[in-house]
Amino acid sequence: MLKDVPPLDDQGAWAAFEGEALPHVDRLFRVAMWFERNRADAEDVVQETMLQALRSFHRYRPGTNCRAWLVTILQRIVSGRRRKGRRSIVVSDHEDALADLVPFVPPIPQELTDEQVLESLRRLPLTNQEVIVLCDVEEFTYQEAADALGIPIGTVMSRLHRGRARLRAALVEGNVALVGER
Amino acid sequence: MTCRDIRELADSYLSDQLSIETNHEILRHADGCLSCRNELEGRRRLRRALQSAFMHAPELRPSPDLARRVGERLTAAVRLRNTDGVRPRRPAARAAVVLATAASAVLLLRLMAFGTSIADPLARDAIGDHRNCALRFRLVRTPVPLEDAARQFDSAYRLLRAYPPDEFSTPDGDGRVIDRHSCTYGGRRFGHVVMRYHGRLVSLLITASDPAGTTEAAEGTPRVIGRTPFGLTALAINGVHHAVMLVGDLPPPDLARLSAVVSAPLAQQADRGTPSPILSSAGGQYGGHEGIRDIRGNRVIGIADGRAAQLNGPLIVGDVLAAVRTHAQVTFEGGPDFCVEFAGEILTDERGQLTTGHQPIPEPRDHAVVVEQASTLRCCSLAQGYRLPERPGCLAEQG
Repeated sequence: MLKDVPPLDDQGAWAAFEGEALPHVDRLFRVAMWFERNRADAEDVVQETMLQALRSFHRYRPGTNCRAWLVTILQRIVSGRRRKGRRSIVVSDHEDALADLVPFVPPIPQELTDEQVLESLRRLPLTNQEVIVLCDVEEFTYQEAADALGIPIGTVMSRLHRGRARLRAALVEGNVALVGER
Repeated sequence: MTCRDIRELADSYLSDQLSIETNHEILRHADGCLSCRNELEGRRRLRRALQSAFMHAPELRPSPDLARRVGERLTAAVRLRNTDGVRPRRPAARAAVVLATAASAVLLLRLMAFGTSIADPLARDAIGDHRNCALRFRLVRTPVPLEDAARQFDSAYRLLRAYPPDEFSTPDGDGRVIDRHSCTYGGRRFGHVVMRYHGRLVSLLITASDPAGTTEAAEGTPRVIGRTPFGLTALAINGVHHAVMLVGDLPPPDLARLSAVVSAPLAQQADRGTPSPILSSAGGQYGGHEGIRDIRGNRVIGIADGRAAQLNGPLIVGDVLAAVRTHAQVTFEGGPDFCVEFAGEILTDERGQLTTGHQPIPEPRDHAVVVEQASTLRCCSLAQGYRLPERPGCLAEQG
């Protein structure tokens, strides 16, 4: 539960938060839902994200990507929940070796259904899913994704490169088992 | 740049991570390499499919009241001092909102209104783009030229290069264009024209329609898709492939009338390439431009109706400029990518300059062509739209 929220009796500050941060609630939910896979948990994550954002809104730099700033907070909350054991994630530590299983990048199918795309994305290791969701779906820059995930920008780029190749392979093959244990 | 380079850079190019110079190198290579063009198109298709799947997957859809519930909890967490300077009682964890002051109630109502007035994601992004780009110049990513965006993302953006005209007239008054570019907000890319109209800044925006949107062709009637408590209204004309929006803080009836004049022709042309009335420039009125088509389906534009006429707006391949008066005269700016055909004879040389009787006109950017009665000029091989400038002294005259 959030404590000691600074007073927002400055209507300008509240209006700024209302205008900058609140419009992103629905999109934050989609990202949270993708990684939590449970509606109640995803809503909790979003609620907590917005409360923490409200608390630290004085640290947000106007003009920068507010959604990226909010997702950074969201990712910290999701990681914290994982560490507490609510979701036990084993990140594949064979990522480099697995890359060799995709030596050929197949052409992208002409027809793509939502179900195919999402199912193929779900088959990827979590580390690849994270960067693809942030960079290709949410259109963050590499630096924004690196900040949100707390990893070097080079790691973002290498995970993206492999993740996209795996996604294409999964779309074509349909049943390539690339995911690590969750 | 090699094909291997293209494949390594393609995703970064599509996500706007590269410099403009590198983008140009990629485009230059892709222009001449079918394989790389297909690769770029395939990856673009996959990105769109990912974004579409995320936006429309039922399992990822938030509850309709999520924004409201989040707002209520935020309001409960905010400590507002009432006018007596007494702190309101702190609510218990996850308890209902306790509104201690009228100010709190007003804020909550505004919050709820905010949450319900911009439920449409397209409206949210359009209003956000207008606010952050046109009003505050606070976009995260630098806008790009329309031609670059047309080649990289959506050819419809090219329409905004010349439409609306820099100076335009409507029944309610004149307006002028401040800036034209392509920009992004909320992950959505727009073609964006910033206009000044009735002393206010108004944004004309075009973007790809949401995949689950309407299947009906774009109609001329705009509808309100969002409104903020701060007075911004978004009107949209939704077509099969594109949505055209007008955003501003004009009184909604004024915005609606402007939208009918400015947005409707653009929406039709973007969606189906159907002809539309071309906005007249300030000080002139063009007749005979209601989009008649010949038997081949080409748009026919009469260029003389007995009055001095001014014609503005982009012409597309296949357009027929029909002169119905003797010695009607047309001036227009051209470029090396278009040619004009008259009675089977190409009138433009390899540099796009118009000729009459095989005599090149020396001024490359401003040409006059004298045509005979009932003759036609047909535009062909037009790679990019061009517009006729405002040159009253050089336009159609009485026969």
